[in-house]
Amino acid sequence: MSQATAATLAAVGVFALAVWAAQAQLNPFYLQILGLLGINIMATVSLNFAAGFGGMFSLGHPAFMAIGGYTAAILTYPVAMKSMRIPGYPEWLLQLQLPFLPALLIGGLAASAIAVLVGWPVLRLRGHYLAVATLGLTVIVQVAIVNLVDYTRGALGLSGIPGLTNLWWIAGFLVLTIFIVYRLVHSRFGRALRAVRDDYVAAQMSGVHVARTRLIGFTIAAFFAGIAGGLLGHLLRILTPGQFSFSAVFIGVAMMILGGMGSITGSILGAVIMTILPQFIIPLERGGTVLGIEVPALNGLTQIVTALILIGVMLVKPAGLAGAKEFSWRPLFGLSRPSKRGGSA
Amino acid sequence: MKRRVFLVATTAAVGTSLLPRISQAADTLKIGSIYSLTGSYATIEDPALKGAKLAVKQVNDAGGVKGQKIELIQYDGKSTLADIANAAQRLVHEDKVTAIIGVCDSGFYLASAPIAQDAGIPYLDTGGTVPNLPEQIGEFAHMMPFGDDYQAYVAAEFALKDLGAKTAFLLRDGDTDYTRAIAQFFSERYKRDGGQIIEESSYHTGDTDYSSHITKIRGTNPPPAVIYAAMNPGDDATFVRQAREAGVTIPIIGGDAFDNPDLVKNAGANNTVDVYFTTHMAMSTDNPLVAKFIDAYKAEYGIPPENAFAGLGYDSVNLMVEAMNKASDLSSKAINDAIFTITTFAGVTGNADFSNKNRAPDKEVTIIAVKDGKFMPVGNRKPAS
Repeated sequence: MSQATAATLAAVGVFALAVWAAQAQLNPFYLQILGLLGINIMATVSLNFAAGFGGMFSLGHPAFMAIGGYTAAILTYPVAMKSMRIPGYPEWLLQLQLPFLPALLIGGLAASAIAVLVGWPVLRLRGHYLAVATLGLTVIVQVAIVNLVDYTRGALGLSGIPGLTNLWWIAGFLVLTIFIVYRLVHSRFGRALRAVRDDYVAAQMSGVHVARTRLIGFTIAAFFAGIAGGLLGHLLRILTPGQFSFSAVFIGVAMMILGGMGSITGSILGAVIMTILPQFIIPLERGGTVLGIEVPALNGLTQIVTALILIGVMLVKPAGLAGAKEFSWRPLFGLSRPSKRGGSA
Repeated sequence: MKRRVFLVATTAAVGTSLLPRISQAADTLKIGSIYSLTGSYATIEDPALKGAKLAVKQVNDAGGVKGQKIELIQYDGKSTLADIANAAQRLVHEDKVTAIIGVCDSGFYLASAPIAQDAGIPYLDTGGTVPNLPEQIGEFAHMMPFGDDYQAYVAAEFALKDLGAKTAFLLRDGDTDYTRAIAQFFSERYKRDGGQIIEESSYHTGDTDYSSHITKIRGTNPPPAVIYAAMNPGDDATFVRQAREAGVTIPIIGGDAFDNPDLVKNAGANNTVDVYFTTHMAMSTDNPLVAKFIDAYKAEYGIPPENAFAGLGYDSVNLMVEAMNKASDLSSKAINDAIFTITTFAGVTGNADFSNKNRAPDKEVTIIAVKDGKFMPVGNRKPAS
């Protein structure tokens, strides 16, 4: 075992300990914020896998989260309430209630299935054409959810979802997502994916099956987005089409850009800043006396500050906080770069 | 690197421990509120908050509740589910409020209410009108407005009895739950009482051309005597104008979404003849309680109440205060129990009975007629059982 691998394993151990401590000590408010943070990191990492590493600038990520979220929620929904609230499904599905893990995985697979269907025609497009086409997917899924009232409860939202998500589930899937994406990016497949991103023609000339590589990358990203959606639904205990609208698209992209496209570390940074920072500003929004000084209510302060940070970072570091770089133990331990391809995580 | 991480972590930790403590006054009774002051719901939830703040001020000026002043702790819901759920968590677990009021949307309510329910804190919905919200959440959930069934039933009875219309055309926005619900409830009651729905038609939120629906209205045989328009704000004015300009002069009845100044502004006063709607309150000075409320609102904010949601916010605080005064002690549980004992609440949005634990209060619905571009109250009614 190399020193870096040992350090990574130790870090995962410390992380598990922290999750245990948080679950035991923190009140539900902090747990919910940390939960949303974990889900946002997952969503951003998966978006970055498609957009940053794969060059597929997808604005359809909220759609995949919605599909994964609704699918998982329908599978864990209490049977007693199903026939009353979502009576559109066939009888066997109305009588079915799955445990959380299979429901989440099926949700992820459902998102992947839609990604294959949509990706087949749409991934021929590149750049902003692809962005607009995938934005169409977000719109279609949202309209479908609103109109399929007997299957989704429409605009009112599917409420009464069991609150199965806790920090352990989120932390577990988060570590898994980061690990798998990291390994994929540094595999033969990942190199092919980045080659397609950087030079379409050159990749094709080198024997990379361009269409297939892109489709597989897109499908994997959709899977993790679907899982994130499932975790979100079971954390907030409600899903509505409004959660997966344009603003969700923009926030997701902002987290990715802020951290840096093509960097897992960056995705984590971006999601942390965009999720945690507003929580410190919100108490200031409602005004009151701060340290003896009367402050008026400042509605919208959160949005303004996050926007300013986004602008500031783009001015100073246009490639995002982490650029395309990744966190590494090497500078910390003063290790030299391992020769050739011997390095491991 | 390490030092910087340590610095950030320390700052974050110190910040977290300080922030909640900044604005706590001693010996106040804390009521939490969640209203969206940014995003798409700001136009209805901002008036609701203003109404609530006005009520808090009046209660405190009159000596507070059992000798204690009320403190309203308000968070912006930002018209976003996650932010609304976070605000509820913050109110319950950080600010440790005694009771919560807030939101004017059933989805927003369903996203935040389980948090208060789990903690055993009464949470009063200010404006979401799905009739069985309390049944869906539990015993700590309460509603200030009437349910959609009430307003649609009253509309159906008004059409049959007052307008003498035995045949109706139903136009509904198929995209939103609210419009589907009132359309369905209207149709139910109208048919039960001997009316006939001649034709139904669905449109999408934001449609700007209603000519196909108007052609349908003109083409049906026998012709409809009334149109029930289950529409959202904005669309209502467009439809009313186009129908009137096309020569359709039969009465049009709408739901509480019609209660917005844009209706007359965009449709024109001469096109809104024979337009009626059901809503939460009449901004009319005939009722002394409402007259006092309008005057106080003007004195506080310099403008008359924007819409009925200002009244609902005002009543939300006053209902909580009445429950607090009636409660044996000022614990959340005692206040919650006291709400069910209120059977004759006299609010600016009508008289209401809160004894039913599963449903919206038994409350009067206000019928408004548009006359010369002004909203004139026709009367306050409850549906026949």
